[in-house]
Amino acid sequence: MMGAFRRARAALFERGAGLLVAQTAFVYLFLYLPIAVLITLSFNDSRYAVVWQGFTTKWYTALLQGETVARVDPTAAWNALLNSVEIAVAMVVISTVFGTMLAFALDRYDFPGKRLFTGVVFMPIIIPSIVMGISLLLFFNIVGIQLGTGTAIIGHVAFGISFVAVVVAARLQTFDQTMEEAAMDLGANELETLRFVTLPMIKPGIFAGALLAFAMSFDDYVVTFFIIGQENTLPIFFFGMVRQGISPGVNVVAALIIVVTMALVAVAQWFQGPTW
Amino acid sequence: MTDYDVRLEGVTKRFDDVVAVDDVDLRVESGKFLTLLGPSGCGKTTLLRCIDGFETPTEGAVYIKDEDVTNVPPFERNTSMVFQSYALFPHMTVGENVAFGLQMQGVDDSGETGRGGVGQAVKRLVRRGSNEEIESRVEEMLELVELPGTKDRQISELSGGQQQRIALARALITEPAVLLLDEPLGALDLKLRQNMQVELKNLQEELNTTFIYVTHDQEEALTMSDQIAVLNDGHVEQLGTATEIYEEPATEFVADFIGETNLVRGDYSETDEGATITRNGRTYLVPANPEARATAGFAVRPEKIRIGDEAAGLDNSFRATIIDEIYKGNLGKFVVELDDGERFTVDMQIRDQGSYLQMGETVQIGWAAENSVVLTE
Repeated sequence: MMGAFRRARAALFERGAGLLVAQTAFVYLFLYLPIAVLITLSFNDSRYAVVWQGFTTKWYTALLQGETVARVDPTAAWNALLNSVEIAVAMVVISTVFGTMLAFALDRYDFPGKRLFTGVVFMPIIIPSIVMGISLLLFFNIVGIQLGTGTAIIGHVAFGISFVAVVVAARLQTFDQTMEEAAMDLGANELETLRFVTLPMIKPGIFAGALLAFAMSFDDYVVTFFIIGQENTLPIFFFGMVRQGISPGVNVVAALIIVVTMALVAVAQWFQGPTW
Repeated sequence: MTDYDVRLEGVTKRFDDVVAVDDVDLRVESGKFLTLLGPSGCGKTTLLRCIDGFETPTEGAVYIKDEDVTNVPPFERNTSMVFQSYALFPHMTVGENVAFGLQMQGVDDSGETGRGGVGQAVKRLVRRGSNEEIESRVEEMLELVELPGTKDRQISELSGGQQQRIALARALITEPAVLLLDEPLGALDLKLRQNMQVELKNLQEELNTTFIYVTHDQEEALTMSDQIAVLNDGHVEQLGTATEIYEEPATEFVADFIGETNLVRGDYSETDEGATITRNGRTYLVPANPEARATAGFAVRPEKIRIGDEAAGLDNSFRATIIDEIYKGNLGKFVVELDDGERFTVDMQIRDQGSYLQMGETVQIGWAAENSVVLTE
């Protein structure tokens, strides 16, 4: 009995590597097959069906020339994209600065009510977007701020700061403060220490936080929907399109965004440099 | 007049209710190698950090080169620290690490040192500038620590011993009045550590810079120091040369902490024939100590106790039984017991094969009175 079990186990371990490869392949397939299908269909020579009818680049050509393809108006898509980028960039800049400062405060200082404060800071990550959206809408109405991209930026910053703070705080925890002491010992004042030692060393964390914040903002539908008023962002635009069926135009715009996003991530990684 | 590089006056450091450093007065002569020696938690690192400026004393004052620096931040003090973890900047090359101190001082082509005005400060924030003066000083320092030509290497490419040397070079390039070393050899293996001990001492003599070295390793302290300050519970138990600390420990703590020793407590009395300490009815002859109180102890080092025939006729000479032995290779270490139960550890050189003593053997042990020390506390 035991012998048989051991033999089976040994056989399993022997083939274990193969099983692992298969499992990994399945995970990647699960993650990326839909994206691959989407990109493939953007070249599909069919106006409605998701059935492959042959290869074409005519949707790309048409959209890039400003023609409306299957209800997708390139001007509207372009405007939505511009709004999305504007909101995301403004949000990332503000969130990264304040989120990093917040992470330092949480990492370096003890103050009364710190636990409660920390909880409140990280709340936006946990509370449902819909609650966040409604409460922000209420807030803007009560205060009397005109809804638009401006309010969208404020709303995104409200959760962006939390995401940046979480990522940077994690980085700060592994940061050896002796490094700062060494710099000061060698004659660097507080600002110089921050500039030449602390920031370069936690740069990967700040970059990761900023990237995450960008993704969260660019991707957000629920919160934005409540607080952007008459304006559109890309997710809202897409949602409007897809409700009336998937068109090749939507596929093309999505495919283009994937390519641009990947390029952005690649550039960010290159900037980030090596990690210690 | 003696020149003191570092002077501590009544330095006390309290963290909440814990007293880490308790009223320490200490003077370190220029160009000397002082070791702060003590067990972990004795306050030696806190004291070092008070000198460097990372801690501000709760009470008392710190002087460097006769200037009161008690409230001067670390970056404006003429001290450099070699950290236990080296704290080399991982995002800079070896050369950039070593150059950092000079760059922050704003060394320019004229070789003049000075941090300059606001414009200079802003310029420094934009870029860590380098120039020929700095480059040549960096190369000089790398040669000093015997790692020439490594300036373009990454820190992660260096071994622990090499990192140690770079940390030294980085600290020394600013020509500090005092170099502070916080257990810098702790992470190295024994052989490397012993080599570095000698090299550090040589370096210190060559540069004639004041070194203050923190360690809990008494052997390290005895090897390198001109002066040793033994710390216990935040205060200095004894300050003296290596020989003084070892041969004439002032307190029980010092006798016990430095090397191995036999401690016997009893009643102290002085007669015409000399001083004695009596315990369990047995009288031990000891050197007279005017500061000794009625109840005192004495210490005698294991290597000062003779064993066998040569022990007969010494001031203190007793019959004893061997109850334990520890083979140490170069010497035999025996625990012997007198008939009243008093135990002593005795070292014996094993010069002849077969002269090793056996368990349970009865032997004669003895030592001269002047080879023991009467302790005041």
